[in-house]
Amino acid sequence: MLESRELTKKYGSKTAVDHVSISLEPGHIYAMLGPNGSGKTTWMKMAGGLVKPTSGEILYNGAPIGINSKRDIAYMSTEPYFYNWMTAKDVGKYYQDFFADFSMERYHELLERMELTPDLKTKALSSGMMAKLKIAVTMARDARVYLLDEPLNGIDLLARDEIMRSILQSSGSDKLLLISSHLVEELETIADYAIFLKQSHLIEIVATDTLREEQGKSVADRYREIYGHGGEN
Amino acid sequence: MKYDNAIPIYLQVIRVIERDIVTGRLAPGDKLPSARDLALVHGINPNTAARVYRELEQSGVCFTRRGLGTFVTEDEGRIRALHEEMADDIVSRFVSEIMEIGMTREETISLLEKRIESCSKAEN
Amino acid sequence: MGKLLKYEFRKTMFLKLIMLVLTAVAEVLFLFAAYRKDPDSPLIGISIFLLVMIASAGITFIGLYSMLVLQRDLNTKQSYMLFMTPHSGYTIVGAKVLENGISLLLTGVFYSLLAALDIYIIFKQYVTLDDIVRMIQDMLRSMDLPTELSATTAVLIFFTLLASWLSTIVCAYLAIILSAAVLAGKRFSGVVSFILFLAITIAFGRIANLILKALPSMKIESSMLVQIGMSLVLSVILYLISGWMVDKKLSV
Repeated sequence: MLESRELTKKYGSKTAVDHVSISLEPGHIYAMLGPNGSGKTTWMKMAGGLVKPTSGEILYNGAPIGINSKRDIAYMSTEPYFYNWMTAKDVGKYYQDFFADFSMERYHELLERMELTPDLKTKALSSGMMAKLKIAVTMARDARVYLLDEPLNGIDLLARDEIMRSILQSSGSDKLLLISSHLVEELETIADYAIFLKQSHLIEIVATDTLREEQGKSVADRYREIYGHGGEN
Repeated sequence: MKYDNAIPIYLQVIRVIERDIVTGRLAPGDKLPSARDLALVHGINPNTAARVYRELEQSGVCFTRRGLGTFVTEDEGRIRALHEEMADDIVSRFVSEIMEIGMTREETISLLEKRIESCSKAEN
Repeated sequence: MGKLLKYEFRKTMFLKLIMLVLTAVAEVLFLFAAYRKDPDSPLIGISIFLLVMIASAGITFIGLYSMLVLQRDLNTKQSYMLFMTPHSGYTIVGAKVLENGISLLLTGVFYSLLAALDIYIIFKQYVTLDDIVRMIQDMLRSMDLPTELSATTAVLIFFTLLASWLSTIVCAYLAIILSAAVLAGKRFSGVVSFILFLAITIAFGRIANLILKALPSMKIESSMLVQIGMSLVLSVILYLISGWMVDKKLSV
């Protein structure tokens, strides 16, 4: 459904994503892992159509990322991005105006569960509240693909549970969820595949069950092997 | 529920359900939550939840009626067999651990009897 | 594009509100001065002067402000708002150009009506286009300039200004887009945009002059039509390049 072929992005002399080829299928929840600078965010931004590749391709259902993919793909960045004159209500209206799969009802439900109110001004939000608002408006869409970049960052434990719940609720056999996070342990039970990126390269994609059954390792164990000091890869 | 992330999740959820069946918290014929609800309640991947039910069905502990859901088996014999399987599992783990620390057969049995007695006393 | 247009208007609302408030203040001053028992001429003059200043400054600022909005829309994280929507670069740029054009048109109409109203208040009679033309002719005569000014010519002058303003706007947009595509919002993107803008404008100016010189001499009206045509063609070309850049080359 979502596929990158030798996808590369360079910023001047710096390579953010280096010939990464990944093929993602619906009906799965993928955890994209790696320290800062490994290429997760840039890969996601290319999938979301915000960044144009330097070389290689990124395809949605076989066609290059563009207007059609943006209709089906819900991307949530790590950074805040709402217009600063907006209230939470305005943000919802904006999404409703541009995305046919947005449900205002679900939005209000999520706002409530995250303990946010529609009259809150985006410029007055703390970083935690902003993180919750971003998630609420993104998950209020009934998209085919969700690309969530660090959705659990800066969020308190209870709200994190709510977010995990809405992530699971939004999953389905025709849906693809890609979540990147530093909080590897939080994703252990909900991800069925782990994608490891290191220094702009793809290290491996592995089914979490395979790690456990064949190697007796958790995702966190494998993470430490790959990125820890003394890790061969 | 706290999971051991290095052991397959579906096995851990199966163990929880089997324990509920064996202790009677889930009665024979009881309806189990849908795979989707199971995933939500336990915070696990829906595919994992589906696997849980597949494995339980394969081992005869549960059965699925299409359109109606997944149910605990009504076969008392199967449940008894499950009970024995689980007990044997616990005992074999105990035995290998206790032998690993070098206890003799006699010491082990005497320790067991003492413990069982104090446990039943505590229950009464 | 309607939704995009709605938000483009919302983004520029702040400046327009300020202008409206300033205009209201100047207008109140004018009305106060005009309706006194013995009209206070200096005050009338001052308030008229203020109104004219606000009107002309306003039109300039509206144009400039939309550049600022585009700059912000491309170079800050707010860009995600636009770029995650299922719209092509062509509709995104198109909505901005439309918003700018419509705003300018409405502003022009608004101030013209206000002026007409104020002139009526002063002269206690309606003033028609012909009267204005005659007034301008008187003004031109007093400055020893040619007074051959027909309504057609006036209309053509209006459209020439409009067309050249349109090409200026689109040119500025392209400069900002090019700068954003190449520099990705780094420190000097504003300066670079301005330089690119000047470069394209000068280049076009030279080409336009060459074309005009190459053509056989014609009446003022015809040459103005040619100028309008060239401005429009330039606008379209620059618009298409802008849309293409946003679609294929711009990363946010």
